[in-house]
Amino acid sequence: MVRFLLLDDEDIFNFLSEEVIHQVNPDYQCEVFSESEIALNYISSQIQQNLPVPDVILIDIRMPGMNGFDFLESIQQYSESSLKNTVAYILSSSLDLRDHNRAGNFSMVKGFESKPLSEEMVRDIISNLPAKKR
Amino acid sequence: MNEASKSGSDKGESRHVELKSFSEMVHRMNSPILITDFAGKIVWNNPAFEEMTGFPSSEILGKHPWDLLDDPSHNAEEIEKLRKALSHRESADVVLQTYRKSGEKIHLEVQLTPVADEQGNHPNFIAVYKEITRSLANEEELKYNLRQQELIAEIALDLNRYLDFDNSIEAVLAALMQHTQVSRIYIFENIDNGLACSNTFEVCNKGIEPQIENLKYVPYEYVPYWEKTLQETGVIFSEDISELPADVREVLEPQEIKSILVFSLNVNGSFFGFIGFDECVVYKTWKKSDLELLRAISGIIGNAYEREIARKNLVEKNEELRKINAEMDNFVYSVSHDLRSPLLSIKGILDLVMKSTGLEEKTKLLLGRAGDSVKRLDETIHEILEYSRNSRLDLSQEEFDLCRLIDEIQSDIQFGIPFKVHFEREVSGNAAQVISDKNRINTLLKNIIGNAYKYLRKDNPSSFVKVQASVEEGELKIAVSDNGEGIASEHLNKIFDMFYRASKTSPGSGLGLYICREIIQKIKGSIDLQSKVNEGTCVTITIPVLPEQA
Repeated sequence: MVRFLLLDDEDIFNFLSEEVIHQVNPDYQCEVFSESEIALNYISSQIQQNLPVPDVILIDIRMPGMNGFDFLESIQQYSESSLKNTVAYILSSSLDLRDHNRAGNFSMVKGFESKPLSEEMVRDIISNLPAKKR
Repeated sequence: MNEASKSGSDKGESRHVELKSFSEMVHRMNSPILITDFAGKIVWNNPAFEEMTGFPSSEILGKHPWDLLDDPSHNAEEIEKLRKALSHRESADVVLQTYRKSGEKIHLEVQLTPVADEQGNHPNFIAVYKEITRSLANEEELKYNLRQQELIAEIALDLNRYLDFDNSIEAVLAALMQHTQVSRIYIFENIDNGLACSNTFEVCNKGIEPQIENLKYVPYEYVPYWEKTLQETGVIFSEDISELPADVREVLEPQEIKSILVFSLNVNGSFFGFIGFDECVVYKTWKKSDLELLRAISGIIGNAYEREIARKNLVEKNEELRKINAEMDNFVYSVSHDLRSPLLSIKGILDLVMKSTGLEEKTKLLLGRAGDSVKRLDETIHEILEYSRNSRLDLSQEEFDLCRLIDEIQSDIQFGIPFKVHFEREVSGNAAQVISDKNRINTLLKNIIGNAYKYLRKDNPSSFVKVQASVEEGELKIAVSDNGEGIASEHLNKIFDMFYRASKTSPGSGLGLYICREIIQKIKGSIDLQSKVNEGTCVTITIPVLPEQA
């Protein structure tokens, strides 16, 4: 069972991503957030309560308040422990090369994809997960 | 002559006669001449000698020449030579520095010659003098002039070196101080739109009180004469400031100034400030050549200010531009992001709808058209971004794999079209790894190869696109050829124009080739396009590359 965490301030993209993910496999779980702070609280509380954490985080960069990079920095502390099996993909409409370059600094980030999420992308992401997760 | 005759020997009489006729002969000569006896005492002088030394005959006769003309500090060696010549009855040439009776220093050349009598004795000496003061003074003046020229060269050099303007000016003032040895040298710059001036640089000689802190703000209305004179004549010159008007004296006297020399500094033809030379110890008389020198140097300093101001302006403008550029950069990225977001959500929705079952064919067709429009708009946003990126970003140099770049571009393009096109890539060994501006070359090839695919003849089953690359004489040459539609000759000279589209059916924004031309200009390459309608097109770009690293 794969757990997705979707984080985008624009609900339409969260909606589209969830639809596409469920088209690939209706059993995949999606936790959907439109605010970074709430997503961050969710992850912290899952960790504190020893509950399952997301396997795949799909995250937008340009968001009001805490942006995608701020969010990634905040969860970086768990990257070697609770989130060591979690991967993150950036899903953005940004064409700014600086965003692309900055994304490369986070060990959790495995890819930088252009919106919208496609079934092909979902399959690629899944195929790169450890076998027992698929 | 009396003394000579009295101190004579038995043969004095005949010698006396000889001496007399001889002395009459030299009496009228212009050269100062002395005759001494065997002991070196002066027994005769001509009027020219009196004239030169300022001593009357009565103070000359019976003395030794060195009693009159001695300056042991300078002449020890020469006097020794003189004594030796006297005792050995030999001739000698010496140069002496000495003084007139008035105390004025003079330089003399002396030719000392023993005079023999019938017995071969040398009872007398004849000394012929030549005053060389004038020529020595000329020599000194020449040296001084040379020093002035060196100073001017040094100052010009200091100001041109331009490491730091303030340090240069300090160095220049220090050099001027060394040369002029006045009490104070300073620069004032006009402030408050020329209503006042402020002392910005100052050097003081030993024991002179600095004034710079007291003179940071001097309104010209307190010293109207000062401003008016500098504006009108460019100079204030007074060897005794008591002759200056009261307004100026009120400012100068508390600084204990006795003599003053000030030149205006002009920048871009207008009164900018002044450079001044104060003398507080003595009433200074200036050499004419120094006045000219300082006027010239003031001009040089004015020029230096002019350049410094221009440089500062340039730095400021550059900074401004950099800021605008960075803001523009953020603006372009934000706008492109905000334009793309809704567009990409539409794309997502269309993709979802297309996937749903039971759609009519016509609905599918319409959805497909909507999808194409979304794609075109997104491409246009990409192109606008690429255009602005090219115009704002500096050139970069990085090593990259050209084959891989071409293959990636080709597969992206092929991915977007429904039919398969024969593609050939020929990259010669020396072009496989190149060092150049990868991003710009990527944009160039994306556009050029993209065009080749876009304008293939749909009905031609043997369509091909071919990319050939090689490095020749430090230039990367990439040729992209196809057997597509080709371009009619009437369009050929316009296809690189902004927003130019050859026909209404041309897909795209009309920016692609314009961006290519802009990039080519930026990376100092060239682009060539050959085309024939219904035969095909060949675009060749030539780009300077760095030689591959060994």
